[in-house]
Amino acid sequence: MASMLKNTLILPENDGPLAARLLAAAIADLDVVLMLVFGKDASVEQVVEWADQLCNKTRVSETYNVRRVVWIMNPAANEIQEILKPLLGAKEPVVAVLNFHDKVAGSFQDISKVNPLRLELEFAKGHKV
Amino acid sequence: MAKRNRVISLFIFLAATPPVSRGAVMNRMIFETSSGDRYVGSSSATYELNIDDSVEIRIDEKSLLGDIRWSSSPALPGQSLLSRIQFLHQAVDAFVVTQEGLLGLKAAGVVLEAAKGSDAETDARKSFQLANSSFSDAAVSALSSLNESLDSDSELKASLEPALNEAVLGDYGQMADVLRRYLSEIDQKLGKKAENAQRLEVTLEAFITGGLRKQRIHLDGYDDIRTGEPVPFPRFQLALDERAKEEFAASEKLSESVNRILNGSFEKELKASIKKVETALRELARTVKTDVLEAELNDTLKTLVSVRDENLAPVISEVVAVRDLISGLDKLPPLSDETRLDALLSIAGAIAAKASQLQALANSGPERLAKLTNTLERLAREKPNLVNKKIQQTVLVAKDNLTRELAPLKASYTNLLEIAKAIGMTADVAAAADSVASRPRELGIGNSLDSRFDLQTIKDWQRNPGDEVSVSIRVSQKGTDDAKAASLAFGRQRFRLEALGAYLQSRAALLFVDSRTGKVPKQSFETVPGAAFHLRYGWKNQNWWNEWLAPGVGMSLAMLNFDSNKNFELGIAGSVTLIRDMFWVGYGRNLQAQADYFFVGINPIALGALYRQKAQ
Repeated sequence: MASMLKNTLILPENDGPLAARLLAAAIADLDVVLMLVFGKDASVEQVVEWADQLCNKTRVSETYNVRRVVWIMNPAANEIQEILKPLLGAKEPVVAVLNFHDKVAGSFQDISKVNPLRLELEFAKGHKV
Repeated sequence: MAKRNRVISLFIFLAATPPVSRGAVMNRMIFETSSGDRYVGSSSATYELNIDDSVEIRIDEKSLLGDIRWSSSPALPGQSLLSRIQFLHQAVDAFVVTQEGLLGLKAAGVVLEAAKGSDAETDARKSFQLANSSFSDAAVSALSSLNESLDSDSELKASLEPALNEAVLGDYGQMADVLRRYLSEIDQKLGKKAENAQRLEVTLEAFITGGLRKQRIHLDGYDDIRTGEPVPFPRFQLALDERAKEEFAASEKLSESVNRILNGSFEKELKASIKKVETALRELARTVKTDVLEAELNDTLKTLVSVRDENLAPVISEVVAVRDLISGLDKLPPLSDETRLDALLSIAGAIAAKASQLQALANSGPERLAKLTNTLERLAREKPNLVNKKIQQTVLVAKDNLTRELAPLKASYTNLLEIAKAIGMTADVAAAADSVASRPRELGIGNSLDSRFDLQTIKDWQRNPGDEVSVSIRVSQKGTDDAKAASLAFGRQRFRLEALGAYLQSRAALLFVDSRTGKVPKQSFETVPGAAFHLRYGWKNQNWWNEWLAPGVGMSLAMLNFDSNKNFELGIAGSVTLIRDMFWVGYGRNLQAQADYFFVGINPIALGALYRQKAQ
């Protein structure tokens, strides 16, 4: 990881129940556009870094940012799946953006198609109320 | 200054593309009137103008550039650069707007955070959501459009995508900066590439049309048409104005024509005249060999276009211009057996158009053919495979023959105008107005393209409610004789003049008078010209009332002939008119013959104007 992630919640990989609690709390947070990134290989790591940097532009104060990233390294964990399935359906994307109403506003299925410009586009879709 | 340079170099380069994009429509002329109304042209709608207004015309060079539709040929060098530049100009603006949206979103976020837990939270949340939506709309639009362009333009993608991916991690202002820097680079490239190319120029023209007359209006900076002292619209004038006099004369003439139509002599005369002109035209076409010339020009055109060489654009223009001049020269509209007024007007319109073609051929034909002869000779030397001997020979023969036949050509033109006039279309007035010289402005040479006109200072024109003003703009290549042939884009906006409030109008019409009571023998709809003063009322922007129903109430006068024993019979009647004085109805008294009469009337000039409006 080249830079420190200031706007990203990294869910624990090996503690499903804790990861699920943290994820549920992040989703329940009002007034936040949430980008969920799934997986843990190098390309995913790069996407997380970009997404984190894209959050900087919407920082309102030290304690509040309109955007946030949740990095889910182990999306296959049962507790995580219980939360994600109702939101994302059966086909899990590699990146998903949840809007203020926790609806999927944008997503990517193919990690190779992701670059900062496209990531920002999906983030921007999440701001639509 | 940098922006100015960019625009100049850009327009210079654009001129190098062939003029194959006729018909592109521009829609960003902004009109602001002295009475505070604002319109954006060009639209198919006709806007209402106060009859005493002055109008400022503003033209946005950048928008105008965006409206120009370029050649669809992918083989043209520089084509992708042009579309790239057009896109980048828009993208810079879009990202600036998005950055503003982002700042608005953050400000709303601060307010929301401060309001949390207080009574103001609900309102603050609403504002926050609104700011988010607004930002989202701007960002999604800008980014989607950018991504699409990068996907469809590999060169743009290679040049810009890395820098944009870096910039987007910052903010939208940085993205706009990246685009601006790239624009500046390609502008410099274009400027160098286009140093020797022709420039583009803008022609702005305005006409006022009323009845069957049409006149050019002075537009500041675009022509030398003289203006007069400001004359406000006279609301209560108790004398026949120029238009009423013209209408009276036309009604008088039509009254005679109706009688001639009824006894068949008019149709015979018309047919004989047209036959005579047809014969002359066929003879002219045979002498100039227009059929052979047109076919050869079409073949040459095909060959030249297939090469897809931007340097051939001026030659293509010349060939197209000559072909348009001679195309269908010997074909006149068939004179139908119809003697209805609308059919006659239709024939007259077609004849007037043919007269314009002949006038153009007489004025510029020999010169154009001589120029084309030289151009083809030069081209044959430089690119022998493009031009054959036959086309050179045909153009040369046509030039010699046309020069020799100028006198009969001009006679045919005059004859046609006479016929058109006899039917009731004074097309020569319009033709004369068209021939007033314009002074086009070069694009991007420091001077603004804006202009203005003042309705009150139109010289030699009595303004009337219902008159129409049309303003047209054309972008064409400089140095091309025929601006229309080299037109890259065209736009037009029409305005209808209206006097708001009450006013009195003098009008004239052809009346069909039917005697009702009295001592004279029964008259069955005798045709006579009549004049009237009608009170009308104009409401602001009430098109249905002002333009279509357009009622008038007043008093009409007519010279009648009920009693053969009396030399002078004056009829005075109360009258009502509809549809801008086109249809009249009234009831009155023949004072000398002591008989009542009923009449219906028709205003031939108003009808002709409506027909022309419909035909445009």
